[in-house]
Amino acid sequence: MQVRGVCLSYGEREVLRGVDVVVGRGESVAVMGRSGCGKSSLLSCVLGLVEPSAGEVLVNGEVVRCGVSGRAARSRREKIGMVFQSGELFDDLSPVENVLVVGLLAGQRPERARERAEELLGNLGVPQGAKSLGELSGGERQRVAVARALMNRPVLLLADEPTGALDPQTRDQMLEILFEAPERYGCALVVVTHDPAVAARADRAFWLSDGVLGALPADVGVGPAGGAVASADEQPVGGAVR
Amino acid sequence: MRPVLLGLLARIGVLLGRRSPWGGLRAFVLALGACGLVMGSVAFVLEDSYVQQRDARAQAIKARPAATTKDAEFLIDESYPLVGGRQIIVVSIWPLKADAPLPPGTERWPEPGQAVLSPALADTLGADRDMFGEVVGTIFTEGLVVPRERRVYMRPSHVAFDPGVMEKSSGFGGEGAILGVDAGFWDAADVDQVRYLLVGGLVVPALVVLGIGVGLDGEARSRRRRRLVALGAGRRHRVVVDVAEAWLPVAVGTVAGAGVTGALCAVDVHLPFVDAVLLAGDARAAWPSLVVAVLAGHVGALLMSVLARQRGGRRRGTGVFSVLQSRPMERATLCVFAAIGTIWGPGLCSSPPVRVLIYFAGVLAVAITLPAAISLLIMAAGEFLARTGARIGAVGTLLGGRRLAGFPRRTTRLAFTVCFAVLGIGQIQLWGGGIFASQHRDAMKARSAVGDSVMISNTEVHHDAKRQSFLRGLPKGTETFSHYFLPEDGSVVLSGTCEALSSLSLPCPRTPEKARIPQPAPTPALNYLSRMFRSSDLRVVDEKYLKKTRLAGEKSQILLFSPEGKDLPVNALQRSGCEFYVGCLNLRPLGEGYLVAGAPKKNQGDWIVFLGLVGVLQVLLAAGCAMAGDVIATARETVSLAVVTGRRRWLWANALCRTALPLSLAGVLGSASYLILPSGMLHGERSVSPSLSLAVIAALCSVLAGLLVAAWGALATARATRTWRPGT
Repeated sequence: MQVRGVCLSYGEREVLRGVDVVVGRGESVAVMGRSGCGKSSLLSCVLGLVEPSAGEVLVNGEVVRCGVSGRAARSRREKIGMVFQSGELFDDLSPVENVLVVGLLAGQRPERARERAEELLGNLGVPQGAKSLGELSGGERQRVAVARALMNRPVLLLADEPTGALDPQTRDQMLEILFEAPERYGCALVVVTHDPAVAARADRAFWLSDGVLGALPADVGVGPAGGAVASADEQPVGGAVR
Repeated sequence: MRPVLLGLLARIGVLLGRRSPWGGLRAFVLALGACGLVMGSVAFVLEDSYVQQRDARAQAIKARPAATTKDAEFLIDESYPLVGGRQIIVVSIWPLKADAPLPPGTERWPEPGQAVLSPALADTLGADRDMFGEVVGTIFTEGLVVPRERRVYMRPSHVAFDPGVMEKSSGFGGEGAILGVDAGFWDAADVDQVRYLLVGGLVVPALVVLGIGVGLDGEARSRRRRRLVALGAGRRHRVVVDVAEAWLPVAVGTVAGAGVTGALCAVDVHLPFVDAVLLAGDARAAWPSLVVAVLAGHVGALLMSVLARQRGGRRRGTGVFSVLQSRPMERATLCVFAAIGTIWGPGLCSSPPVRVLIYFAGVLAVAITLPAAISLLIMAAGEFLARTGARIGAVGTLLGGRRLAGFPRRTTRLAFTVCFAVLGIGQIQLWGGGIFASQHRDAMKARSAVGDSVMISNTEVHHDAKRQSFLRGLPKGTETFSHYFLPEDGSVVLSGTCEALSSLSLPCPRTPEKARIPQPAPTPALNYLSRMFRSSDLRVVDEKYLKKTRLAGEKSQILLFSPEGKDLPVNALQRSGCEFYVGCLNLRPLGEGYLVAGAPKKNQGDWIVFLGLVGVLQVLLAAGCAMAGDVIATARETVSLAVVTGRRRWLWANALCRTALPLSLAGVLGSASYLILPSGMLHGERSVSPSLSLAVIAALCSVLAGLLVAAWGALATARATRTWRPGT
């Protein structure tokens, strides 16, 4: 994923002011920042839901088009997977069905979609026999969410506060799975989070403030043990930070 | 309560109503219910006003008998022949003085051979509108008991004029008026029946709609309520919040209801389905009561919304409906047995009261066990859809089906409400409008067998030159008999020409001889004769000799028939009769009595169907909105998936499964139950006659309402995909 000089304004307010970042396959990046700093807006730009006022986003070498239907939607469907804060799973469906719906919507044949869903859930350690999500723990539900995001073999995996609703132990299990995904499935991972522990797992972590991506402030508490902390002086491998 | 606190609580209530994600839907349903209740309340006043004004017009139209010949201003005669299968009122009038009072609603006296028609009769007659003479005017509304009355004021021709058969009258405006044949159900003498119908068709459905509206967004509202309680709010504080929350939508509904009332006061409204006109003048006459009725409806709607809200805090699963829905398999099995018993039970008994009792017990048992059956049906349909969706890769069907299969309680409750509404309205129709249905049905059967090939004229005519002239002018292919009762033994003497008698294979004796009609009768005319004179001996005679043997000037009735069994040219015959006889011929087909008696019952049934459908539609819309609201309330997951995958069409399938399917299922099930359950009561004494049109329209409306709310839910969800962003 390449984000090149993306700017975004809502009226007079500049939310993003020339954001540049590159994330390669197998790599993970965390974006932190205060509430309202523009993290979700950046995600929206990457998903093609909001048209940047300047700059562009490329996924797999192709410019992300803005729109909710047509080519933009197809491109999003085929290249991007997303893990939501609260999972956004369907309580009425079984875990397998929750995953396979994404494949079906992408036009996969039902049998193949089911096979793929079962395989993913097996890989992620979700109990296969569960008839409904109610039988799963919070962590298992989040794994289902990750499996769903990976269903269409995306090249870019986005996660919006994926551990926001989890206890520390479940959060750690979830992070294990999430940050394994880039290497295991060959995709890039971008995680938007408030949680320093999540950012610490990423290969690189950025702080979004005043519409600009920069290094994490010292008081955020993310040490180098969990991942490389990008800064304005440091040009990480495969990515650029302004 | 301090005014400051009152104002604050009211503001909280208003804001809660506005900010709820269900706000719009809830407001719509509450407004719909309030409008229905206001209209129900207004309908009571209107009905009373219409009846009073109708009776006043009936009194004004009635001719006053003249006490003495000197008092007589005009001569009058009323007859009620059938035209186009409907009874009409033919008023023959003849002024005796130059300044004789005009018939009400007319501008001048018609000349001999001229007539003044009511608009409805002019519509009925169409091209034959000059049947009663040259039309020289229209009877205005003030001259009609009801606007759609079929009435004609005709002045007989000089040939037809016969003062001997007319009564002397001193003017119009008499006491004890009898309602006309077109007075209709709305104007029926038994006004209580209309009131029951207004309760069943308008008031109860409106209360149900308000109940549904109050229940929308129940969980979130309960949370808010608990928050208020935690803050120290007591019952009366909560009432203030509830009233403030419901007031605006209820006020909107009241204004809508008042608007309809205003329209009814401003313009005459024609209701084609029941062939009635609601006169604006009649409505305006009761305007003070109408204002009170609108306010009463408003207050009633507010009270209902608050009372239902106050009751809404009970624990889940303890309500009557939850109990009825429990143990679905056993109860559903009972429902099937109850239905079978209702269908077959009455047929096993000969006693009419027992049959009715069995029927009602069966319907009650079905109604009690129906929620469980609907629960099972919806769950089964959901499971089937989910499996099918998963098999063929239809995400919307899979999701919608699973939702139905997994959460049927609320959907089932709404579906049952619809089903019960259709079934309930159906029972009102069955027992309110169909009591004489069997007689009417038999008359219609006989009528369809004989058609218009045989007619009898109740007008008694003399054997004189006028009669001969009339018979000479009959259209070709029309034969006649005269018949009268022999005073000696009460037998019926049928006289006709030898040609006429032999055309029916009857003998042609010179003196009255007994004749036997073979059974089954080989021709429609003989069929008619055998039905008409089944309790009397029949004698036939050649009329050529009768004239010589019986008294000249003998009065008799004329029977006209087609030997070939073809339909007679009734209008042409009637026109011809008008030329010779006061009140024309008064032609009647076989079974005319039942047809005439059945007409108001049919009208009554039409009104029940009409008002019942209004009620059912209200409930359908409210239940549909609640279901669509469920779709919108659970849109969070569907919207995010639709955005990320860029697919939105499946949202339609999802909404269809969750709204159109249960709603249609409920409507069709209710309609089918209404049609099938009375199968054992279709024949015999106290038989009933379900209205196919009610069932079909209710089922179609449920399907249409289902599609409508599904579209609403799907569009609302699809619209949400345009504004959805990560983190929202």
